[in-house]
Amino acid sequence: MYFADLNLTHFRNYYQQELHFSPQINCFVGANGSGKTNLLDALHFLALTRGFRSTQDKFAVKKGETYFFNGATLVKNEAKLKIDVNYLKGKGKKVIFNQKPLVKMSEHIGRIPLITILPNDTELINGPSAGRRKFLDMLIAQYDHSYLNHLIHYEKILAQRNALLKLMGEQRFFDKEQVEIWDTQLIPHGIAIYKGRESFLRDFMPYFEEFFKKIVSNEEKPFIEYRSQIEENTIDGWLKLMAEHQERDRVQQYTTGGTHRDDLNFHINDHSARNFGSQGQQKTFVISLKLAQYRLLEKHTNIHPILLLDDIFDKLDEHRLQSIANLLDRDIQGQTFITDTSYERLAEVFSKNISREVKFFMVKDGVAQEW
Amino acid sequence: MEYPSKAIENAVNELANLPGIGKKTALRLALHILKQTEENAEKLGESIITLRKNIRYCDTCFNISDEATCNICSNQRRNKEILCVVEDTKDVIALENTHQFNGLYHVLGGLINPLQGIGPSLLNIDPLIKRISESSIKEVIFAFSANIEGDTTAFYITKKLKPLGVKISSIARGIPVGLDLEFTDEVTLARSILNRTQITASE
Repeated sequence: MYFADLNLTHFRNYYQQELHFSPQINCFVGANGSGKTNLLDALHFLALTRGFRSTQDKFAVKKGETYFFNGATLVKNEAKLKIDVNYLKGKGKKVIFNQKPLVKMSEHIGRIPLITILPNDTELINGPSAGRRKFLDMLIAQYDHSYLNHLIHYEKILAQRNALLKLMGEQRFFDKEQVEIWDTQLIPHGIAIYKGRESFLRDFMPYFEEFFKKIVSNEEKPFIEYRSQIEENTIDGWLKLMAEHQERDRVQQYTTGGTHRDDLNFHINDHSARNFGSQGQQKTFVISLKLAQYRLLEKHTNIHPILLLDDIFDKLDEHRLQSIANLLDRDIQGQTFITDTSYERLAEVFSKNISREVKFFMVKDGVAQEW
Repeated sequence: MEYPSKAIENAVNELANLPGIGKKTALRLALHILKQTEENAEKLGESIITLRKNIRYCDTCFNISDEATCNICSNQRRNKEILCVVEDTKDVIALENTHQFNGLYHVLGGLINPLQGIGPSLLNIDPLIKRISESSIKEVIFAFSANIEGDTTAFYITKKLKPLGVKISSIARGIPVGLDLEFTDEVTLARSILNRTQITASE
């Protein structure tokens, strides 16, 4: 599956643009602010009905204009499919797939598997734990609907339990019995969530390690540690945890024990990637995580997903740069889009022993040209 | 919206406070009442006042009633050994319409829901425990909505009833009558397999 072409009208800084892509590797090269990433964003719109940056569609309209049209031809098993995303200020967005307007945006999602790697993805390492839990949960929920159900129920029960603790705190009393009723409900979902996360990580690790090793030559060994307060994932183990946290729950007026406090610790050679990792190391870690995600998506959909790489070569040493280029050549079969500020850098790494077709586009002030 | 009269505006504002009624519908209702004979409009007004002033709750089951004891509780033909616990009066009406239940009811007046500030003490749970311990009730059925709040309330009451040794059950949850299996959501389907019912072939 690949995008054969892309047509933009009034999308971000583009007035009108038509591009024809290689089914293999496409590179957008240009200065900061020229519009490279906007091209990735347009593809993201077509695959997932929304952009990857601002949440509001109106910001995707070129300044001074009232609408944007994005159109593309998607080739799947040699059949040509048309996708259009049209947005008109005040009227909203319309996604048309093969001449049929979508009734629900969700029916389109998953049709075109796509993975993006963005510069701020290192937030996954440096940001708060909620981001890491979300990354993990989204990965699991994509393939396991019952996990998603457990997650939704857990969140709902947790909100009620927290509200109860707050209510009791405000009214200055504590009824153990009422708290325990919520525990009885919470625990079965918590057990399923812990089990889901643990077994998923066990399956995920080999993919991740494989990519990491391909990028890094030396003896750097990565490790993902699943941290949880759960020591024994049984009803008794959970009851013990809840009992131990009861006093703290009462004082802090929210639930301090459970899988909602889980975290992932990323290590490189026993050092925390967050505290000790260089920017390049952290970037390598995130790229490996995302490529492992790519591989899982590929396995589950039986389609080579499309890969969008935004400025990933920045801050990487020459060796890692070349390794990633080789990896994109040999290990990734899906259509790949890359943005970078330096033509020399890309031309250099994609000149050595590369078997896939690489097409370059020069981007300047909202105009992209085939090189 | 601008109204030609203060009286209309007041009526619209009051009507719009009702559930499911917006300003436009409220205006339509107000204009309709205006077109009625004075007698009809008075009847409507009086019925609302009587509803609010004269209706009370049954001392035994907390269902809406005209007397101190409602006509279900005072009906000698009903089975006094079986009690169905529900959230609200509208649930009693729904269950009565099935004509399948001949026992008594107990209306809680809500479900345990801390997010809305509702704890067990605000519900008719203590009177329920007292009622069961002082009467000949042998079986209690929970008929709550199938959500977290319903489950929690059932759990809580079950714990409280444990020393009394009554039989406790909950209405079945599963596939709605007339619905295709494939369109049933996963949670319901999973639950209906766990709580499957036995079928015996009659000779």
